[in-house]
Amino acid sequence: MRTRALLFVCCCAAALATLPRRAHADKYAHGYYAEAGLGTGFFLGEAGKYIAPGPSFALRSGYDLWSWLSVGGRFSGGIHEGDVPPPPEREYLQLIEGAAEGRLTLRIRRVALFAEGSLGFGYITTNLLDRVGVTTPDNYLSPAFSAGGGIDYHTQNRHFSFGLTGDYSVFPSFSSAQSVSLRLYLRYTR
Amino acid sequence: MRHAFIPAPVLLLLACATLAACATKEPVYIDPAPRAVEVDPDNMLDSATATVQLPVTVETNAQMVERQRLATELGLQLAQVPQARRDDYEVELEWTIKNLAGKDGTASVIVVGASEYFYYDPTLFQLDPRDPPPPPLLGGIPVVVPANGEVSGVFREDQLAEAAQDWDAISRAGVVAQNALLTQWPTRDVNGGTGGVLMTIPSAAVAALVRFDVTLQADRHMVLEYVLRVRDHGDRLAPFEKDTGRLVPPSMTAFMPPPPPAMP
Repeated sequence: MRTRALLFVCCCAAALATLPRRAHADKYAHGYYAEAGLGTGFFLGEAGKYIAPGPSFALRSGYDLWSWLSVGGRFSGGIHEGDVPPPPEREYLQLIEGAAEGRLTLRIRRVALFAEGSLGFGYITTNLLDRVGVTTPDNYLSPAFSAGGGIDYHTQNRHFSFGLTGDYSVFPSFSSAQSVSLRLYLRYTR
Repeated sequence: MRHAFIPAPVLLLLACATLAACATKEPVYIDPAPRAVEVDPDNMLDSATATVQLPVTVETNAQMVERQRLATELGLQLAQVPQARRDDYEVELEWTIKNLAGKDGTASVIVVGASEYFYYDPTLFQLDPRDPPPPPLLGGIPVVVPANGEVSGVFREDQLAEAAQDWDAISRAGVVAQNALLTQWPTRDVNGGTGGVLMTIPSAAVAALVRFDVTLQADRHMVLEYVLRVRDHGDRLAPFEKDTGRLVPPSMTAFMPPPPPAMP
């Protein structure tokens, strides 16, 4: 029974993949994509007391398996002021993330809504937050779980779209610090 | 027409390279022991000191060969080129004084220290006990701390680099302490030695300060906290090394200035 179900799912997937593209597929390219986003990031909860909001960026690249599902990688980061009890004062840290992610997209004409999830690692570049317990000495790498979504608008050029994305991330090894990032992005799809 | 495109693995590789490049120059914050010192003149305690070591690992054989090459290039002997060199580290010292008393008070932060060759004991420079000691390597300037308030300050990277140069000039080049401490060097090289082990010390051979003794003097009940902020240009800074035997040790030898010339 389980084998049949698996076979059915595989057949459906194969059928979907080989279906002729719908008429609007010519308007919107599908395949390899690259995306660059800029925005802001901030932390919630206990970590938010010690990490000020700051600029954030993300680079994404991957492949659209279908018009509604894509998989890829994300490299993102942000620069934040460490708001720890002095000394030191006015010091900055960077949070760098690398993750594998998947995105589900629902397209309605030029507009698309999407939801995404990712699994990867986050890295804090200094030991500044050791003194407040967010990081521990010699351990600045944490698994990172993210979920988010956004809205995408496709331009008349079939390769380009832009939009707004929001991601919520949790870093278990950084005292379960939680971050939210909001970015405007431009996406190119080959 | 085929568009130029960077595939995902290449993009991620580039990203990792960027990350690696970013991470190398990030500052590291090193706390002293104890992390805070307290003075309370009402209880006969008007100064207290906390010490911090610059944690530079002892060199490997390959690094020693590199130091030998540098020594040859500079025309020096191997032992005259320190393992921990001033130019390899950018050090900054940030401090905060909290006044715990209900009245304004005056405090000063005094920094002395040690290279891997000698440590600085200002009292050894006093020819007569009635004379004031020479100035410290850094600080010693009184600041007013408001009642129940706090004051923060910083000894910048260039000031600490100058302090390391001062101390190497005094201890290895025989430069008169007051001259070294009260004037600014025109270049990063030590010149004008007056009979020390070396007459000149090229910038690349100036010893880093590998220990800092930071003293708080105050006329009220106050607490000093400070942190060393270090940027490493190499890869030998080991802030989490627990085995001090693997670190370049600060010298335990106090530098004794030569006696003044005999009066005719």
